[in-house]
Amino acid sequence: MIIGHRLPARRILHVALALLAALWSGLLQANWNTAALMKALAERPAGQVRYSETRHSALLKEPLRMSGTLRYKKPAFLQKHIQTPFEEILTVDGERLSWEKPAAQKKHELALRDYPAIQGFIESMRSTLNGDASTLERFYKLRLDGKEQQWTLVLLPSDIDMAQFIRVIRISGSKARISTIEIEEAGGDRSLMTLREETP
Amino acid sequence: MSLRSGICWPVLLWLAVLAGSLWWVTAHTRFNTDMAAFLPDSAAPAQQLMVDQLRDGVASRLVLLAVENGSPAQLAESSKKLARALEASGHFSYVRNGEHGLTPAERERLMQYRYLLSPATGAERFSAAGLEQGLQDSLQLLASPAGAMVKQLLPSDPTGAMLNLLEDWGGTGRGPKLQHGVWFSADDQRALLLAETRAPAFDIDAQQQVGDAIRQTFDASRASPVLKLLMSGPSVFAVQSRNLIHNDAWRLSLVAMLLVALILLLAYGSPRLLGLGILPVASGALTGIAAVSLSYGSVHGITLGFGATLIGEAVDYPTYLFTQRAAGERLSDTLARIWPTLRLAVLTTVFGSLTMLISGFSGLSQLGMFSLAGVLTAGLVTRFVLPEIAPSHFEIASRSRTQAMLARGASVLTGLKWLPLLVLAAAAAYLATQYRDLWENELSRLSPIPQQALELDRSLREAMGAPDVRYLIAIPGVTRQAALENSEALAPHLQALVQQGVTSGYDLTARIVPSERTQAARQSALPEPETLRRNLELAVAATPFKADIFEPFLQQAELSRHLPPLQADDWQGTPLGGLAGGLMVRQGEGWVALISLRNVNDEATLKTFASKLGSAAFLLDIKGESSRMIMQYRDQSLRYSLLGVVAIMLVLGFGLRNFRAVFAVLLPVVAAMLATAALLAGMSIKLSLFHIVSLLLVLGIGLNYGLFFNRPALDEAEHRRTLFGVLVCAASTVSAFGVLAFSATPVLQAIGITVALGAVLSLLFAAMWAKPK
Repeated sequence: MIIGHRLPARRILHVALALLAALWSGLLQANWNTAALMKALAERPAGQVRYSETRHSALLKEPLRMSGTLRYKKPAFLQKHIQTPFEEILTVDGERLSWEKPAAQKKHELALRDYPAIQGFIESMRSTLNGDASTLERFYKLRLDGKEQQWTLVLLPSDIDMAQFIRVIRISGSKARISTIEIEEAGGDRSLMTLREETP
Repeated sequence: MSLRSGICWPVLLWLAVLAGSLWWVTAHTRFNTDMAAFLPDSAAPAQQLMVDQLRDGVASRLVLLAVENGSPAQLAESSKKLARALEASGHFSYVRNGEHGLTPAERERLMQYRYLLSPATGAERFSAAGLEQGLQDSLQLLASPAGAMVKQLLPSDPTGAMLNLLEDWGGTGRGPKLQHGVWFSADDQRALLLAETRAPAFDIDAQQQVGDAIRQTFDASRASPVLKLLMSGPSVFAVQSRNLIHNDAWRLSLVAMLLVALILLLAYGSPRLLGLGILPVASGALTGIAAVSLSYGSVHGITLGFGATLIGEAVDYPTYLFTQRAAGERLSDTLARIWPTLRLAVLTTVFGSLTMLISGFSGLSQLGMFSLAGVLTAGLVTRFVLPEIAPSHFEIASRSRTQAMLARGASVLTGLKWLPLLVLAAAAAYLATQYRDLWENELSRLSPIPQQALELDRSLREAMGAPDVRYLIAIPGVTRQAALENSEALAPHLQALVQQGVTSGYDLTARIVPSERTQAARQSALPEPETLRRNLELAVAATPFKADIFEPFLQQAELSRHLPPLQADDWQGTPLGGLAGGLMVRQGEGWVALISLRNVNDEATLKTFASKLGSAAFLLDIKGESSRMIMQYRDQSLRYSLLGVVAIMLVLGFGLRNFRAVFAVLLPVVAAMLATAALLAGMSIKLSLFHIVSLLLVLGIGLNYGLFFNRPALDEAEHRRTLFGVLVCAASTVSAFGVLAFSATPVLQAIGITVALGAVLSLLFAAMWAKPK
């Protein structure tokens, strides 16, 4: 019973610590909301991630699998470099969007504001990666599910024009790390992007 | 007033002419302010084309609108409501505010005719290899951010023809920024709209109605009463300038008339004589309007403004008559004395007007016709009607004290004979050194539109990306189709110019309605249905696309092979249709296809390019061409003015039969004209056509002073009466034209300053060269 004798004190300590931890994480949990997520994302330095994407479409015999890198930098830079199965570089910086196909030596440039639906689509990635809450909220109604360790941010298009094409976008991750972006289009087509963070 | 016994033919004839003119003016006369009326009738094809473009060209029916003074949400709501209401009003071929890049009708046409419209349609595009390339591009597009939007189109458009057309014509690519779904200025302060009126730009009455309708619609539809509507565009300017000129001409003529009446009342001391004195002027004005209306179909606002000219010039005739009358003399006896001089005064002005009448400008010749008919009528009424209807006995204020004072002043002036000679030499020398900078070559500066309105127009155009059309390439053809084909042949060269950065782009009808030959060629490039199906099957097998999804494409490609060629009428009522229609114009027996160039950055290269086109096409520089035209016609009117001076010298020579007298009459007025021109130049006022016209009037008026000053006088009393008469005439002229100098209309202002200044100088110089007692 010596042990038995000695346990209660430790146990009390453990229980107290556990309680404290629970209380602490509960407090933290209570503060885990969209604003906190966006703040956490915004605090990250510029980064680069590898991604793989699977696009399911009623037009295709089999899903189209693509992979490449995503680079992002505050306040408003995003580059999606598709490397397989074809090469294409999509760069958005501020208002400008450029779209380059190195194989065909073609480059298009356009102003994002002229194509609100495309901008909305792009902001789901750009504003999320850069933690730009106000821009994101211009295009979507936001809802955050889950906990800090495993969250899902649900984006519902608020613009009626965009809602014609996009049903919902789900972005999930852990803390300040995004792991998947899933896009569900109107009509049932969808695509899933999986992100693997690289050391910057 | 007592008539002399018996039938009096001059009075009856006068009354008949007055009644006829009155009827014609009230029942049939139209007034306009079309600046094009001041351009030549007998112009070269390029100029004719340019005048047509200014009157009702590519961009002249555009109305630029902006809503301001509210939150972006309010402005956007108002913009949407206004656009819908204006569309429903039926006044417009289209209204755009950024809500839709293309109208549904345009989308439908583009889709239906995509293979006949697409420059990419060619046989290799529909081969197995070509289709596979198209499918690979489509796959990439499907994977892009635009994928969700374009995927509905893919089954019917795997070659991307429609997408390329949308990219070309989507419109929003070059448009203003979007906010709440509508066009906004860069600073978010204004929501922007663009509309094209159905009414032609030169139909100012119709444009006025459209403008009123827009304002009423806006008042009824705006989200808040503090919101403000701004309007601009060529037709808005036309309405604005008509109203300005109209108001100006009437208001100022009225003020001038009152002033002149006041001066004459002071001079005669008799309201009755004033009434009589107005008859020649009034008759002259009425017959002048009627004559212009009869010979030109309508009367220009500026011609009407010249009504004030007649007040200055023709009011003088009865003044000379009344002031010359000795106490108790019968008017017919006075007339017998002064008629030779008065006749010369009328004839010199008639000949001066005659040169204006035969100038190439319809605006100028209207003025010539007006003053010729008016002065002639006034002269004849003074000579033949006034003595008939004047009371046989009347008293006129003697004003002997004033006359004595004048005589003293005049005798001082006669000692200054050298001064006009000196002024003449100095003014001529100054003008010769300044000759290069003397002239105003910009037509727009003659427009009465205030600077503020021009500034608004510029800022709206900039915000809307709707620059003023300055350069056009005109490509003639015997038929419409020929002109279209010729313009299509030029398009690749223009594309090269765009790539070199000479211009940022161009619009031509053939992109919207290709020639029938081109459409047929594209149709024949589409394979037979079986061939196309086979090619497609081969192509699809090499891609991840499902095999059976492209049935719509196969069907529509087959339909495209049998479509009747797309016609301009198929676009009716759409913005693209407006563009296509405006760029094809009939000229004489044939047609001209116009290509409008946007934002030309390198004029030299463009001109070199154009000079190599030969007779197949020519470059039209609307601004440069109109300046050139103004210069050309100004030079011509200068030449006509010199001719006029020669004609006047001949008339004087015949009338005076004495070289010294001709010199004494002519020198003061010529010195006054040159001194006036030099003074204007010294005040850095650029001289225009209208200054020249005014100087011609100074010539007419100043000659009269000289003529009367050099009339042989029987006694001191008559000499003093002459002095007094000329002074009264000069005072009425200076006050009438002095009033015009306050006009906001640059043209009226130019005339006012020039004539008032010229009349004062003429009076002084003529007094210096007056015939000694």
